[in-house]
Amino acid sequence: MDALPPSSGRVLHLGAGLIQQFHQILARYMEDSQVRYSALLEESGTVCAESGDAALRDAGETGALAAGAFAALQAVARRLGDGTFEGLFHEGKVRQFSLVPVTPQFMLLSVFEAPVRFGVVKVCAAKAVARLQEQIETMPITGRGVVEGGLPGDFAQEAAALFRQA
Amino acid sequence: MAVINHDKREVTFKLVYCGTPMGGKTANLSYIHRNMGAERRGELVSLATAQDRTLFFDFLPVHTTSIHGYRTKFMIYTVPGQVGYSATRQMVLRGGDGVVFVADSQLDRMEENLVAWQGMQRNLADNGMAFAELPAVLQCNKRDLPDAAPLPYLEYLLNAGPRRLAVFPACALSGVNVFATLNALAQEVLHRFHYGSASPGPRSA
Ligand SMILES: Nc1nc2c(ncn2[C@@H]2O[C@H](COP(=O)(O)OP(=O)(O)OP(=O)(O)O)[C@@H](O)[C@H]2O)c(=O)[nH]1
Ligand SMILES: [Mg+2]
Repeated sequence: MDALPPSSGRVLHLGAGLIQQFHQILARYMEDSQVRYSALLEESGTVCAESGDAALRDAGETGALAAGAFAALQAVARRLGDGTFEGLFHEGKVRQFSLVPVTPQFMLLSVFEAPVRFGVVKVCAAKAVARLQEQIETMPITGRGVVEGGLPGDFAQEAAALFRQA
Repeated sequence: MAVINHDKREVTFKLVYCGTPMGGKTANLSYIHRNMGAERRGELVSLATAQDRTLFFDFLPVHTTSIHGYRTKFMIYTVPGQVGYSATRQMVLRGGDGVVFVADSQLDRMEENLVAWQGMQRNLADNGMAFAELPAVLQCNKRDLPDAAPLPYLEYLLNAGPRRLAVFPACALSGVNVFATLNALAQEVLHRFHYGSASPGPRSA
């Protein structure tokens, strides 16, 4: 497998301003393409920003599975000798979805249904991806969670017994 | 990679349960899922074969009440233990903020324990992740079985390196030390998140 940027131990900061930018980009993308739902996912499936049909949002399972499917298909493509991976497309009877890479650590999920066509979604997504890339470049990634104006207090100290049996 | 959403006031971490084939990684997650209040967890998603062998991963999102106004979410994954699935393990480990190594205490599983342990180190290295700096705990599972090896023996095998992990003797079926294991890892992950370095030393059960 290709060497990937070591993202473990790093902390990604999504500030309110950046999220607002993401939302604006997604809103414009939804208007252009008429998709029902779109989301910017981080490589582990964390939803960084989402827009559209509230019924399609969830506690994280969809994001994790989508990110897993994406990573698996990308690895298959690599092993079969194709280094370029343009994402995946599911053509369901009722609903279609696509996942396209934004940067090596982010992907764009789009859910749509007839009469919206994949070709149109693809073209509009390419524009949205370019805009998202610009914003992602400005995103702070640090080695720890405490930044100026960030989280106060000692997280770990208070986390002594986070999980207990119900 | 930890993600802080300052807008939603939410911090998300990825935890991965690795370990010996059939050692009880999935059993840990199903115990957590069954015994945690529904308001604190999502659904357990298992991508498994008909024989319940993990094929790709299990996934369970859990969250704590807020700390300093920030809700903390942990996305917990297991990897598939089967020998041929190294590429899949490497993929699931990517971006992990902490790992539990679930060892099988049965005496006749020592070779498998060692192979899985070394495999995990290799997968981490191939991902460019430094094990020395990654929050990690060791769980010696299946302590309920009569042929369980003495703990010092398992420790000698898996925990005698320069870095000593916190160790939890467990029974994932009945839940002994399942939450203690998760808490210890969560704590280490949060410590690293806060200070930017691994926590000072192991706090075993
Ligand atoms: N006696 C006993 N059996 C256990 C314990 N934990 C798990 N098992 C059993 O061990 C077998 C394997 O458990 P899993 O949780 O599926 O193991 P796994 O590590 O997820 O397996 P793979 O995903 O295939 O690598 C199952 O039959 C479990 O019921 C334990 O603490 N004690
Ligand atoms: Mg399993």
